[in-house]
Amino acid sequence: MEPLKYIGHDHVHPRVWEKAKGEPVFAADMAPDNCLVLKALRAGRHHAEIVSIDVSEAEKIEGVAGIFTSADIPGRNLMGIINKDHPVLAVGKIRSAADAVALVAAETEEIAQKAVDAIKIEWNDLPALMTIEEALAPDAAKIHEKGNVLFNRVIRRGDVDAAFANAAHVVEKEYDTPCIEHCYMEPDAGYGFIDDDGALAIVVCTQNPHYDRGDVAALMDLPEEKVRIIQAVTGGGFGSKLDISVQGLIAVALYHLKRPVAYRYTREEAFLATGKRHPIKIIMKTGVDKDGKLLAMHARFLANGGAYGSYGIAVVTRAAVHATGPYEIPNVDIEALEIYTNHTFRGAMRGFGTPQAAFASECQLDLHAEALGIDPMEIRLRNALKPGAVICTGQRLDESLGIIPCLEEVKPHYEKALAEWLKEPPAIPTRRRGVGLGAMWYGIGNTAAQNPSTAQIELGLDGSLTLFTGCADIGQGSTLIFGQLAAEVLGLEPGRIKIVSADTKYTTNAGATSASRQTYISGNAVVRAVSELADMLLTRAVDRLKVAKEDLELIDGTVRSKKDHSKCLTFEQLAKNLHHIGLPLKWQGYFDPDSTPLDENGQGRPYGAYAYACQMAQVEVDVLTGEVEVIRVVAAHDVGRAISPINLVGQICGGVAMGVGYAIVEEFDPGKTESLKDYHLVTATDMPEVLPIIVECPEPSGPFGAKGIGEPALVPTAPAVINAIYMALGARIYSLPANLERVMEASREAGWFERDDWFE
Amino acid sequence: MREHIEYFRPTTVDEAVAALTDEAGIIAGGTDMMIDLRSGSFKGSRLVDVTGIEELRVLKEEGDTVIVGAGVKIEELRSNELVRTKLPALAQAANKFAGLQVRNQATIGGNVGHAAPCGDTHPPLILYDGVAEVAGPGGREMRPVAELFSGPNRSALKAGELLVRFILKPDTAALVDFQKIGRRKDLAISRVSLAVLADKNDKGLISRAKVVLGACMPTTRRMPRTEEFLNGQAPSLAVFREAAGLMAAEMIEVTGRRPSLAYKEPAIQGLLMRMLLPLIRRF
Repeated sequence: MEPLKYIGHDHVHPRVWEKAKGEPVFAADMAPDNCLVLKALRAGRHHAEIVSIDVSEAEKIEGVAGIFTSADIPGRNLMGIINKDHPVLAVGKIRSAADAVALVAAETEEIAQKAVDAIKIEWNDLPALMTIEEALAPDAAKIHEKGNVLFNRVIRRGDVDAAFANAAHVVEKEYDTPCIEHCYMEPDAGYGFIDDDGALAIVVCTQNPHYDRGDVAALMDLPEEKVRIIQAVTGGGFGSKLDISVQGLIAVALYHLKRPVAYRYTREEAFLATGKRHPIKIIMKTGVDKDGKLLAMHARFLANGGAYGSYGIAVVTRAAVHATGPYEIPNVDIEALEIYTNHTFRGAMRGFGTPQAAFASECQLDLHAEALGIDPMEIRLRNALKPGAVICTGQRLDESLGIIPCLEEVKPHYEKALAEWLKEPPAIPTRRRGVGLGAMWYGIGNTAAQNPSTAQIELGLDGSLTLFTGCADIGQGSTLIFGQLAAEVLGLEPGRIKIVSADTKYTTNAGATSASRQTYISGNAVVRAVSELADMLLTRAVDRLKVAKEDLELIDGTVRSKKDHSKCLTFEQLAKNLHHIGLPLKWQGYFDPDSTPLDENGQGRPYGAYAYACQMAQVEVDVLTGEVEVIRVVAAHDVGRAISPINLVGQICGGVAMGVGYAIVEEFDPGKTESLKDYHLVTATDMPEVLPIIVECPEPSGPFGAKGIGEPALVPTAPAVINAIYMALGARIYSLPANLERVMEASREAGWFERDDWFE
Repeated sequence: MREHIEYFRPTTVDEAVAALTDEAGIIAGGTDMMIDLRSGSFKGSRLVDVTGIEELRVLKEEGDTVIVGAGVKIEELRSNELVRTKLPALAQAANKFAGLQVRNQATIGGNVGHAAPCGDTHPPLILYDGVAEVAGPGGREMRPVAELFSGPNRSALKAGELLVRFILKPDTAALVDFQKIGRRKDLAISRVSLAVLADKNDKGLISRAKVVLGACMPTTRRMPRTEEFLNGQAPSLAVFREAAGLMAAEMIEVTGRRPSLAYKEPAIQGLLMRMLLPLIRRF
């Protein structure tokens, strides 16, 4: 690839300094002092009808400014980005302990809490359906009127039965994955005020400002222009901040009280009330021929979705589409069910069902490899998608197929680890070593759904440049990336382009910061907008400088002749000229990837581009105590084209951290897990050495060839770690996380307690 | 959180004891008390901040003992040369204690006074025959550390009593160690912890053994039958395995059968075996 001037080089994120200096950029720190404080009364029981709500005692408490219930909501009291089923304040019944029933606005947090405690509710409890088995029972109570199965995604292709009959080796296993809390650093927070236009203005941490505006406007029965969402600097989201959290509650109180109000979740409330990663039971059967080539997959995904839909439909759809892993399997029969239960809702989390699917499919491959005596790397190479491959939805892939390059990048590290590292005795004699592989593919953007983004660039009369994007940078760095993309097209330092983002008053919809889509989709919208501007600047310069377009270049805020640098016009001169001839100095960009809906057999073109990765994990397992230490992870990721290498390294290392947590320690136990005191994340000391390898297989439809990295970084880690633990122990773990208890059980199963050979 | 709590910061032990009414709680590093205040589990109306008392911060050698003031921070135990050389098991426990921010705040007296069954300083304190000097309304008295715990999160200290210092006996045995198992390396609550001490005689037999098990029972305690079994044995995997089995049985006599035993029963055995291995071979 030809080297570029600003793309592929490390630049400093324009908003890094304010964070580094501790300036009040987060919503909880920015809320004005005279704000009323909001606090919701949450149900605290799983499933019940509300017989009555008595707020009379609570209202008498001094300092209470208002108490609201669903009766105070004038519009559509149902939220949800894919299906609308989630009331902001409960109507008639509650479906999970997290459901908000009433909202108090008060002068202080203490008064608000006192008033919440003084609200009396009479309940009529209904059966609580917590497991998928309970929810699917024929006589189960209905959590929602339409029943307990929200959605069933089917993908069928070829003849699975015939293929299994011809397979040399078939294996079927059941896998379980845990419920996971996102644990973004900043608990959800926001505040609202009436802005100069008379709109309900809500400053909030969010991944999705324009969606927030639409749902809040519908909630309050207001036209969209009477609601304004301003994304505050957001301290992480990982998918959770795609949902409405405090936005709706702030809107209700602000609408009635016309006074600034603020809601800041405690960590405990964020744990209780926000979405989680779906626990999914996976029953997966695969068959291979004698060379290890995959012939067929039969898979069932049962996702415990909790009380509301959120992104659940996307989670099971993605699990189904990605079930094969980055391998060609001609015959598939896949079904993925999203099931309502009475847990706090489960929604989007980094990977949308793909991490769960990859755990199962990557373990299946190792099981085949062992049975046939094929090396795990070799079996992956034999099955990996090659140009011309047809995936389970019938889409043919020809371009930017990075899986084999990723496997090839990891291969020398893998071979060295097997030949050398594995042979060295661990420093602690009770430990065994293992090396494991995990690979993945990931469709960029929403699945088989419209997925557009828009952007504008404005040229000031003084030659200044302002880029407008609706995209929420939640720490992943989209603002930096867009600046670099625009800089490359316009030929000047990224720092000279001012970026206005994610304030619905000034920007247009860029879609959600999710599905690893912003670099690819909004990046394209940005490139298209700035390319229009660049073309206009060049066109005008041709006229003024009498130099052919192909002999002109954009450099350092000027357009000049490549041959004669004295023939030069500044952006300021060109701006004045364009203004003089009557052009509005703002250009638009739009992009929507080339995808189609999936039909009843799951056939179609779900994504316009795919990212690929392979990771290798080296682990040490103490066979007598069940402790696992992930020593090293080599992570090769095909990103299409690296725009900001340092940001990619950050995303990869962060993804590995989350993946190690998913593999060995993280588990949210509803009703028991309250906060970070009992939810274990990996700490800096638990982090393995990470070797990130950036692989570039340019995507023709991507901005300068780029795809995405956000979610892919996490997906292969857990299967790589689990496969490595298997090598160390000789016993396989089928339920995540591989915590002390599960590893101990596997170790005992493998007989380590009766053996002396670990000590020889 | 209670709205009105009186705050005292005495500078002597006598002033502190005088301020310690039934309604008072002690705050030193605050790593437990701040949590109790936020959760509302502290019901008292007075806080006595003991960080101003010089006497609690002593850390010195005295004859054949080491004196550790109750107010000594965990991070100091981790890094202090005297502790590292004379009381390596205590230094090890401090090294694995919570995370750096907590170690910089938390005190050894707080860890003992809070009486959590998983308190990481408890096994080494008992291993070194720790005796505590306790100040109370009737003056000062000495009590073995093992007797300072009456149950899980229940201190045997009475209202009005204050831990002043611990007197520990260093031991030069061939093997002195503390290890714990947590869910992660840092900021981990011990699922299991063990302090072990063992020496060999000139015939290569184990001449004396001490085993202190933490985090598995209502309070940390020595495992006398395991110790007795090990004494006089020639170190071998078979002997360690048998000792480990005995220790598990001793633990279960105290705890009865509980669901957490599915892990803890093998884990304490595995940990004891791992810790005894240096008696066979240096690693």
